[in-house]
Amino acid sequence: MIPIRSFLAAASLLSLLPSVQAAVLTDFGGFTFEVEASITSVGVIQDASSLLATGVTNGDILAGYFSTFDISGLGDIRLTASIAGANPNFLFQVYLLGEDLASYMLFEGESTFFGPTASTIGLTYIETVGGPFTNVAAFQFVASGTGDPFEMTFSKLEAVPEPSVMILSSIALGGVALLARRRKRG
Amino acid sequence: MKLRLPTPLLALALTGALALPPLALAQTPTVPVGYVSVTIGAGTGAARRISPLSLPLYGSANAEGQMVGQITGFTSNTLSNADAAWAPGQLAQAATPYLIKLTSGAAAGRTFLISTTAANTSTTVTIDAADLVPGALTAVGIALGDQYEILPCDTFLSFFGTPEESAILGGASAATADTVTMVTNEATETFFYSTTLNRWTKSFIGSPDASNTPLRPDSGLYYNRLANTSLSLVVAGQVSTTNRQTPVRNTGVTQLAQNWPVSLTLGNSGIQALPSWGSALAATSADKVKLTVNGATSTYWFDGTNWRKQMLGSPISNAVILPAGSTVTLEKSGGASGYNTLTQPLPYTLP
Repeated sequence: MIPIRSFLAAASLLSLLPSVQAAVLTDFGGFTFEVEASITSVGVIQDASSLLATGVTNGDILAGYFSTFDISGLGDIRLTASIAGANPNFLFQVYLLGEDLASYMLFEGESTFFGPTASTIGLTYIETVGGPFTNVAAFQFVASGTGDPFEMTFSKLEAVPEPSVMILSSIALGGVALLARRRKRG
Repeated sequence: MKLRLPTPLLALALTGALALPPLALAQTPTVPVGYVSVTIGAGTGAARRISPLSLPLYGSANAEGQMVGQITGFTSNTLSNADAAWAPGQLAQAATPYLIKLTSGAAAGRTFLISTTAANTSTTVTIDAADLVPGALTAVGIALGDQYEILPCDTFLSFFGTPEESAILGGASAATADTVTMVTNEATETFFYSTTLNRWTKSFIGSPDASNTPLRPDSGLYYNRLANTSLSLVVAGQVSTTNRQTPVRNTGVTQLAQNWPVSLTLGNSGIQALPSWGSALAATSADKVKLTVNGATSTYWFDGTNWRKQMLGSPISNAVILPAGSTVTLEKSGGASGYNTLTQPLPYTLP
């Protein structure tokens, strides 16, 4: 017999799961990402599932919109991309903007971890202006580096649970598994 | 002027120096001195973090003859003072270059590097050819009787020193060292300290010796830090006492030093008043200013009324700070040749 208290605790933890799953904000393809031409300063070649930015140099910008997304509780942002040719080893910033385009979360990343085939890196949180971020709707990439222009293919932008939430989720799953095991034995 | 850590003798923040009466020498009118500290952000060991840098204070010339005087003659590339009594050749040493700055008249605020390849005479200095690219001396408004002052000009070696003396990261090549970029003669050049050659080196075929390459106060620099520690640079010296005139390319890139020892804002920088500055409602049609803070580069344009950030939402950015001792990059489009002059009034009141 499962104590009712344990069951309720496990159920409440389990209820968190839908909100902590990784969310794909955009794959930068033409169906999910609309380039804002008035702001973007790089060349753009977009197909159905990715976006190639060309001639990227210091200060260059790629900006655009995707479907509104609630990323509250999803504090870690991951970018999947690749860089053709020699990696210029630059830093870049990513803004995730609310629908009002006034509030944003700012992250920083390092191109060093991108290679000729797509790889995913976690971005470092820098600051938040405004909020809450229940309606994130826009992305802006800014290259801050030196060297010759390069090409970068953007494949996916994800929001994933923060580590603490992941741990909580693991505990919840573990609890559920334990309960299931006890129930089976019983 | 010399890169160094703050010392008790210089332990007077410049902003304070400007706000306070002159030091203990108050009985004699004097130019405020102090220092400006610039932090170079840490790289990651693999990726560089860009930090803008300029030299906002001047040292005192230590040479024979009139370091402050009056122009009694000039040609397209020389300035003369019949009473100067300069030591022939002393102002033309490659390792210790000098600047001559006009302090009165229509060209007040223009600064020129004295040539280190043509020796000065007791009455005449020749101007470095690179400083005449924007225009000959006869075309910048100099008149007989204008006042000048002569100031020392830092070099890579005198300012940055060596890895043994400061925390700069040297390397066998530019790829493994901190680098410094600056625009000379309309070309962006990269420099680093070669631990193979044991000297500052231009990243170029033949690895030219750049130890004595002058760091012009009007030319902005970018320090590209590869090492994973931050670096604190301190510029010490005296403040400018005149307005400032700086040539800006009509098309292309100018790395403009924000070499006032106090911060400016985009709104009061005067850049938007530069003749031929391209303003437009859309960022894509306007000239741009790029500013790097904490390694993040932001782009701004002037819409005719306000500065705006090139960002979704285009926020008004008149109040964005241009820190003392930094650099902004001006990008002008349009295809026009030649230069225009950016004039900035003294942004503080001298005691």
